[in-house]
Amino acid sequence: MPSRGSLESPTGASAPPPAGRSERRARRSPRSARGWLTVGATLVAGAALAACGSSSGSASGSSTTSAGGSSGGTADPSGVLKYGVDLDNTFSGTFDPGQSTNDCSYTEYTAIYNSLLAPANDAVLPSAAASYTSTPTSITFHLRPGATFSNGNPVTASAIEASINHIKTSPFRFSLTYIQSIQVVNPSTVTFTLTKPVAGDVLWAMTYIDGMVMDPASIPNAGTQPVGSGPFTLSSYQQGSSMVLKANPTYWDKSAYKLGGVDFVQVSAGPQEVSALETGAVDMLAVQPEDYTSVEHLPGIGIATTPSSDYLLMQTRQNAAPFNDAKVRAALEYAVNRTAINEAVFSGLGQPAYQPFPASSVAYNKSVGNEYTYQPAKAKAMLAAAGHPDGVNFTLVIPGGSATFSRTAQILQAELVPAGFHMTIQQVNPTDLVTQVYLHGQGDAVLDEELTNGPDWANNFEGEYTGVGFEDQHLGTTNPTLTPLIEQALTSLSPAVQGPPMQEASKIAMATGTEVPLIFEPSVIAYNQSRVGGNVVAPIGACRSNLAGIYIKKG
Amino acid sequence: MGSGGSLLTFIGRRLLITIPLLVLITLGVFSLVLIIPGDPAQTLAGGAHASPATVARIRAELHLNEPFFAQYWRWLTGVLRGHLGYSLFKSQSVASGIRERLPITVSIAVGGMVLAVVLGLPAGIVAGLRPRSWADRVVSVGSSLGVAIPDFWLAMVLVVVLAVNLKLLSPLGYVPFSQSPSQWFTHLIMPWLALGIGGAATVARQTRGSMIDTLRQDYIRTAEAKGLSSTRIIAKHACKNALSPVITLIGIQFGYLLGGTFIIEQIFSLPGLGTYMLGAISDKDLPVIQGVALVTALMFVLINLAVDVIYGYLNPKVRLA
Repeated sequence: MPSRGSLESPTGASAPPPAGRSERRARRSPRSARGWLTVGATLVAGAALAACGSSSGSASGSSTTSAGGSSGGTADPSGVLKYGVDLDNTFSGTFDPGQSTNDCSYTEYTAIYNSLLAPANDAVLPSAAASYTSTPTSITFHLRPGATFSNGNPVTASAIEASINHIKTSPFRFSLTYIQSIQVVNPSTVTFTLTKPVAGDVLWAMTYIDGMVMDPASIPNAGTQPVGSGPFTLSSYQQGSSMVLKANPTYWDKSAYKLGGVDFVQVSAGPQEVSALETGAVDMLAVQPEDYTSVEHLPGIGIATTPSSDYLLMQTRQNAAPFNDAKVRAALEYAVNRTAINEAVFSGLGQPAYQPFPASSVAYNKSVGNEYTYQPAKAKAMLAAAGHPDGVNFTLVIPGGSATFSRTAQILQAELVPAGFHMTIQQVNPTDLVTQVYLHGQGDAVLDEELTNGPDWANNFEGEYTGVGFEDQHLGTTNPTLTPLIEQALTSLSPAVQGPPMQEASKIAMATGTEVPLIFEPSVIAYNQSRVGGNVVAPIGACRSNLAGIYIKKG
Repeated sequence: MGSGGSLLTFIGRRLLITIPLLVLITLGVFSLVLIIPGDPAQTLAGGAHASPATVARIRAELHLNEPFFAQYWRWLTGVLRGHLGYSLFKSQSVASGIRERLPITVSIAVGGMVLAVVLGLPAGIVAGLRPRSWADRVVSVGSSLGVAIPDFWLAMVLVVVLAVNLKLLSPLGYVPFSQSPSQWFTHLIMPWLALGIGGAATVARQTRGSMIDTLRQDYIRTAEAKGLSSTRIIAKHACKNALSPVITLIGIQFGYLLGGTFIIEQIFSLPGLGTYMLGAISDKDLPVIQGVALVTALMFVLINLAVDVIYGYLNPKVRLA
């Protein structure tokens, strides 16, 4: 019996994107680009705050809104949003999804292309496809009637076939390797036959770069002249400097997008993000957790936050001492002070991750609840029982150049001591992480982040514990107890299918310390309240944009 | 004829020396492939999920499996034809990327240099002419501060004062001269100041010292004894000799400013060679690193060549050395 996609909410909104299993590792986090400017960022944040204090002397102009926050004003239909992004480091330089080497390009791609589906935290939403049906080994998409590409050509099943077959050539689109064949049933219906029962994984990938729909005739020149069916079209692009988009007048959900255009403006990561916002050089930009305190009191700057299921975690090397002992790993779960990290690093905006799934998730295990709070005495006793009365020494590898990772590691280091864990921190260049940690075996543990996988709660676990992923093969985390549960969940995105096995998987993962989840990271976006109106919602997770429902105010 | 001929010989000799230097530079730049850890083939093959077969295929496509000197020769012959390779991550040829970004970096460095010379040279001359005067003390203190202040810190202060507080200038971005000369100018004022003030301080200090030394020379005393006017002595005799070492300094300083732009570009979000290089280093985008390093080294060589030629023109003894 096929399951029916939960596409009841045809918002057309540029909902936040996911990261399929293949995408998580391919993506280069914007944090990695922050590099050496971290110190400078701190200096300038202080300087900007000082300057701000002298000009305003008040925090009253600032407002913090949760997701769905809004501000008034009348929309200027020709208003152009100046959106600050680090184009130089987070955009691939090509508009062809099949050629993209940086998954952060999703931020811009999603304005030009529709994917077959659109992502959300707890469901997939309609986009180029109005609905779908699936079995564990096949998915049939029913396309939106009347939708066209920006050049007027219709979005057809043949276009889907051509797009997927093109994007599939990229080595970065691992989930597409599960597609055995694509059948055009009729002009508005297309069926994917899968190599194994992983419909949930592929459905989620269809909300991402993997599922972007390109006009077949445009594919040869898509790198510079993209033609999609998204809300905007490319007007001009200057490498590493600016990208100008204008509204697509033929967009099928025009009413959801009120901007006349978007200028993606180059803002290098660091303190200049704050000054760019403050001086009006940009209207909106995503804010890193470490910069939150710099912008929260700026007059006239609004802040929208959205919880995400992205989470910071510690992965341990389980094929070597000391973490080849499940008892030691279990003790580690009680030895980390998640609350302290949330307060110090994330300004209290995140959520302590006492299990790998947030409380809003169907995979959340209520019986686990908040069991794994900071209990150093208990952890120490567990270590002693495991044969380590004098404690355990280990090395944690962290990607260098990120204030978030660096500060988290420092807090971990201090808070682990009372529990008997003595941790040494080693930084490596983010691009060397794969080579150093996984291939060369550097360190006993690594600080990493798992990015949002929306309703596909099995996605991250698949890469870590089923034996098909890079991490589990090199860290020895393949777990035969978890594997059948994960495989069962991967067959569908339905909460009824994913929920029970992943709840069980969550419980087992924590009890055996297969990973140490730390914090569910917040998404924070800051915007100029005098310029930007409408429903400002921070996209969930990194490398995303959400341009639906916002506008530039008249006057 | 004689002096012109010897100058041409001097230039020819300098050019000949440049050739082995360039070969060494290209060898050094290409050797980066051995120094930098990481595997571009692994990255391009999809990173952590890459299959060994895909990695091997991409490694063969990139010729990374060939012997070092075969790779070097392939790269060098490409360079001689103007092909610097293809960026692993930017979907663009390196030559094209450098062509787009070089004008920005050169704009910043040349502007900073002009500012350094315009401010530093007169200040140094004035201070050198009247040692221990109030003007000398102002220049000495100012130049000490200028040398001590890091340009990135000055850049941040300029942003806070001129962009954030006074809202006079934009804190980021670049507008090509061809698009709007006035906006090009206003967008570069802060980068020029950030780079140029330190340079001006160095030029002023060198000029002051050199001027004081020159004014103590016997031939200056002889000129004074002959009854030449102070203006004529300073303009015709003192300055020409005092500025010779300053010209060398300016050449070195230009190289320093060129390096300084790499940080300044980040602070002002300017898409020049610096941001290109830093991004490439972070990504291990080897062709870009090699290309930018090569172009930067070439610029240094050309600047030094120009300085040598000017120095040789001003001081014939140098041509004979």
